[in-house]
Amino acid sequence: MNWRSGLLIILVLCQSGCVTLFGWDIHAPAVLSQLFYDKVIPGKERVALYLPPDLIAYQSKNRGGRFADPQTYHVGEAFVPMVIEGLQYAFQEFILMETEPTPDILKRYGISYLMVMRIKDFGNRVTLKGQAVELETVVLIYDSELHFVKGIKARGSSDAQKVFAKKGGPEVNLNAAIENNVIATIQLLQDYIHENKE
Amino acid sequence: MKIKNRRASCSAACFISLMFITNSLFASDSEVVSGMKEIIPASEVAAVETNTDVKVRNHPLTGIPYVGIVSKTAPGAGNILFPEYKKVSRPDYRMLDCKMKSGEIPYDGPTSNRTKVYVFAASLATAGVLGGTLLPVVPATGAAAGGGAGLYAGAGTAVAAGTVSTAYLQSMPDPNSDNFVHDYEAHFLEFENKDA
Repeated sequence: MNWRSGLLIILVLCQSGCVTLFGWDIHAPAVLSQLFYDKVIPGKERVALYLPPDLIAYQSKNRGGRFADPQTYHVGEAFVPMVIEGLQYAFQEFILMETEPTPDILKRYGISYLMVMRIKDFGNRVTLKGQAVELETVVLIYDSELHFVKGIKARGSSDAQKVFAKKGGPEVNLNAAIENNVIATIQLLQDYIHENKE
Repeated sequence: MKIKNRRASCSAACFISLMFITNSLFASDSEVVSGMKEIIPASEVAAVETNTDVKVRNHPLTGIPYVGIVSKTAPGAGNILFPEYKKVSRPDYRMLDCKMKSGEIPYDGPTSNRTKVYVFAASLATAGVLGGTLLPVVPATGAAAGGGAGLYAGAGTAVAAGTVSTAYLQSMPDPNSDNFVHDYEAHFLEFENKDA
C-alpha cells in the first residue's frame, strides 16, 4: 500500500465521519417551567393517559437548514415526563395506564376519559439569527367504552435568537416548544371536559 | 287450610333448599356467590376482573406521586418513566432572550453532548494535519458554548465580546416579550379515521 492509497482511505474516513460524529445531541431538561403553573388552572376530573411504548424513543434529526450542523433532538424522552407532569397538575385524579387499556379496565377504575397521545411532527428552522422549533401532537380521546369521541391537534413552538450560542440554549428552546404544546393540549382538553359536564 | 299451608310451606322450604344445593353444586366460574348469598351474573364478574393492579409511582423529575394501572403479570413492563432521569431545576426561559449572555441565567440541565466531538477530534488526530484542515475542531471548554454550531460560530463570538451585556441591561424591564416568541395553539379534529 503506497502513500496515495493510504491518503485516500483517510480522506474517505474523514468525510464519512464528519457527518456521523460531529453534531448536536439535544436532550431537553424535561421539566415544566413556572410559566406552565401560571397558565394552567387545575381541575378535579379523573382522566387517564396511555402513551404508546414507542413514543419515548421519538427522535428527530431535522437539522433545520441546509448549512446547519447535524442535530439530534430527543423529543420523546422529554415529552413523556413533561406531559405526565402537566396532567398531574391539571387533573386531580390523573391515572397513567401502564398496560394497554380495555373497556373493562376503564369501567373498573371509573375512567370517563382516556387520552392517547402521539407525536405527529417535529419542525426545526435554523437561520443565521436563531432557531425555531415546533412540536405537533395529536391526542385521541376515548370514553369509558373505549369509543373514540374527540381528537385534538396541538402545536407548540419556541422561536429564539442566538440559541446555539448559549450553554443549554437548544435544550431549553426544545423544552419551551414541548411545554407550549402541553399547555395547548391541556387547556383544550379541560375545555372539552367542562363542556361535556354541563 | 292448615294442611294446605303446611304443604305449601314445606314445598317452599324444599324448593329453597334444593335451589341452594344446586347452586352450590353447579356454581361454576361464571358465577360468584357472595356473603349475602346473591348470585352475580358472569358478565359483570368478567368486567370487574381485569388482571391489573394499582401502583403509586413517583415522577422521577418532580417526585410528585401519581397512580399507575399496571398489569399483574408484568407490573414493571409499562413503567416508561425509567429512573435514569436526573433531577434538574425548572428552566427559566429568559435565557432564550438574545440579550442574555450564556450562563447569566442559572441552568443545570443537560447540554449538548460533546463526546461525539471528542471522538471526532480523536479520529482527526489519527489523521494528523490532514484532518485538521478538512474540518473545524470545536473547542472543548465550556466557554465554547457559542462556538459549537457552524452557523452560530459568529453569534457566539459576539456574545463573548461583551457588547450584548449592555443591551441586556437596557432590555431588562421586559425581556420575555421582546426577544423570543412562544406560541401554541390547539383545535379539535374532525375526522372519522382514528389513525390520524
